[in-house]
Amino acid sequence: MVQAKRIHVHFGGRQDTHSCEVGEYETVETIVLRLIGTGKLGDGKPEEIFLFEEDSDDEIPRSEKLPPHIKRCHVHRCRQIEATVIYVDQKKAGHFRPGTTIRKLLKWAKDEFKVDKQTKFDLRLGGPEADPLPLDAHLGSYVEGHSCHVTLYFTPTCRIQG
Amino acid sequence: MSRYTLLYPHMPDSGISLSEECLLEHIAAPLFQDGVAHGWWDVLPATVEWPYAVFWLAPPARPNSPDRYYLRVHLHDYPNKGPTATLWDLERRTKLELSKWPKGNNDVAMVFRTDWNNADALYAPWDRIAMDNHGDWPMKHPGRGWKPSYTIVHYLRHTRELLDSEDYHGC
Repeated sequence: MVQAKRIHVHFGGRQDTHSCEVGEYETVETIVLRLIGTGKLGDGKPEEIFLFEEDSDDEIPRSEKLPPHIKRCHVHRCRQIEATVIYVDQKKAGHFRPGTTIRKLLKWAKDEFKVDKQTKFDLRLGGPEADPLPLDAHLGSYVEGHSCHVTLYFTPTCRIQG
Repeated sequence: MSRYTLLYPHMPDSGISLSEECLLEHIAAPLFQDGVAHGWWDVLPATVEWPYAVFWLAPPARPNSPDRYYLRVHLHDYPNKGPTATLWDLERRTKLELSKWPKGNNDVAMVFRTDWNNADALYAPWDRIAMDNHGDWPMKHPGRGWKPSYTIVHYLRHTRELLDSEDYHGC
């Protein structure tokens, strides 16, 4: 009997996710073709779409089966995204897979800017007073099309005082 | 008059208010359903007694931590006005015993404090009652206060992210 499992897929440039069943013997190629069929990736050739496991540094080859442990992944046109992070008057840039979570990116930013590890920080899109990005969101969800670049603002989170 | 319009215009249901209809639409929308699919939260449909509805949140595993916390959310004039909520005992249909509220450091200790407002609301910038009582919070906590364009996901997400931090120690 063929075993199927449910995965959650994040799409480039979109904040919602898509849940789907994946067959035990399905390759990444066929999964990507099915995901293109949802229309959530816009126009483009299948060979320009890549699949990544959440928070993994590796791209999953198209000819391989989806590893059984994977539950959350990301499909995007960019293999890597250049994120420029602004903290007050400092700026740092790094390259990340689209499936990188905001939680992981926050850790990177804390190391890069050498801030106090006990202080809580947010990453925001559009300005230092914009809404804080959800920690479980994927970086690729904030990068549309082929630009493969995003600018984020790294801001300390004010503690709630009594 | 409501400043909010439904995402998907249709003939309103005369049996329920526009606020309730908005909530039902937001619950059916992808952002809320993503949290359901990940096991982060959901609504208990049988508990919707407008303007109240009970939602659950799944905290991370900690010693003495329950599998779920229930929030009884007051949604009057939603989404023009933001939600306010208290922790709920589903079986006894009453506010959760104060000794069972989440414990922890920093913001967890503050948001789930039981010595404020009779524990009828979370002490959080995303809670309507708490925000209404702190005129300086919109400036101190940008992006965390309520906007009419938000959905119930805003409230659930910030509360869940707090529980999903090292500051949460169980109950």
